[in-house]
Amino acid sequence: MSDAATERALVQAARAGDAAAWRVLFDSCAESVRRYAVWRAGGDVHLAEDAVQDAWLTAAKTLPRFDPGRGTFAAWLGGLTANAVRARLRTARRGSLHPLEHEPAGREWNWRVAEVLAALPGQYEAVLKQKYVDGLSVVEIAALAGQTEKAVESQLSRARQAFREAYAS
Amino acid sequence: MSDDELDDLLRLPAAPMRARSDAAFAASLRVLRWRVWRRRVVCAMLFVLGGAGLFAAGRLTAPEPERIVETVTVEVPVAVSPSVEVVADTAVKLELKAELSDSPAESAGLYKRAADLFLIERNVAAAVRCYTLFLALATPAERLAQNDDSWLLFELKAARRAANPGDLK
Repeated sequence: MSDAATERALVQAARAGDAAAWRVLFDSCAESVRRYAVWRAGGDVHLAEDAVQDAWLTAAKTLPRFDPGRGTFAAWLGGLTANAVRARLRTARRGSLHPLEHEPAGREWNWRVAEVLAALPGQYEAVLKQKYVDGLSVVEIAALAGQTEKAVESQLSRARQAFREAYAS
Repeated sequence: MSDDELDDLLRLPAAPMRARSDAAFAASLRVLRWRVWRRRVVCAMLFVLGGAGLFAAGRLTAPEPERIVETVTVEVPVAVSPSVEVVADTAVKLELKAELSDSPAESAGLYKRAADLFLIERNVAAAVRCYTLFLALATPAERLAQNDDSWLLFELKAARRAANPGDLK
């Protein structure tokens, strides 16, 4: 969905309870939201599933507050997804004080990645997402951001370094 | 941490997550429709309450219905009591006209009217004088008692008949 006017119309219809419009919005973002949630959850698919469900419910509840003039629906939903992952991670952390026997050993590793991603500055997280989730090349990221390739490479390098330091600490 | 290890950490894991996609859509659609329905109910209630409030406010602040005062003029028969000045002036003028008139019949009529007005004025002496002059000039028929005679004239006629029985002829 690249047409802003179309998206605006779909959002208006969905606000009025139009199931077909909501279906179009849902399908246009479902895959990207799912991928982003899994990435932000550090690969914890179960946590990501819960977070995606939460994000969609929040989107449905707060759709009247979405302002198409301030960004795309996908970007808005991405923010909701990041918050949902963060909230689910906190809940999971509280629950992990008393871990179950069948708790997968790798979850701790997933959550560590997720926490580091959540703690990164916004611009670093964004450029890492473009590279690892959206699969964009440096050239494509630079074109989207209106920056030079060198600037994007530099920002990617700083983001990776920030992640590395945060993960090691 | 090498670059390859970092890439492994940040790379999006391939994880199927389609099973809950429909559930997320259905749940979010329910929330969306519930919000629309609730908004409509709230609007309807506000409309009803607003209408009731306006009605109540209108009832409280509405001015009393204007009282229509109908002025009905009812003529009530009252004793003639013209102002003394008017009566006196008129009676005096009538008496003067009667004195100046060359016609005995006219003079008689004027004296009678003057006497009636003097009587209304309660100027009995002047009334007696004018009635006496009237009787002196009156025809025999006029000297007979009439229905419209005042009490004073009636008494004077009676006294005159008693004193001069021949007047009846």
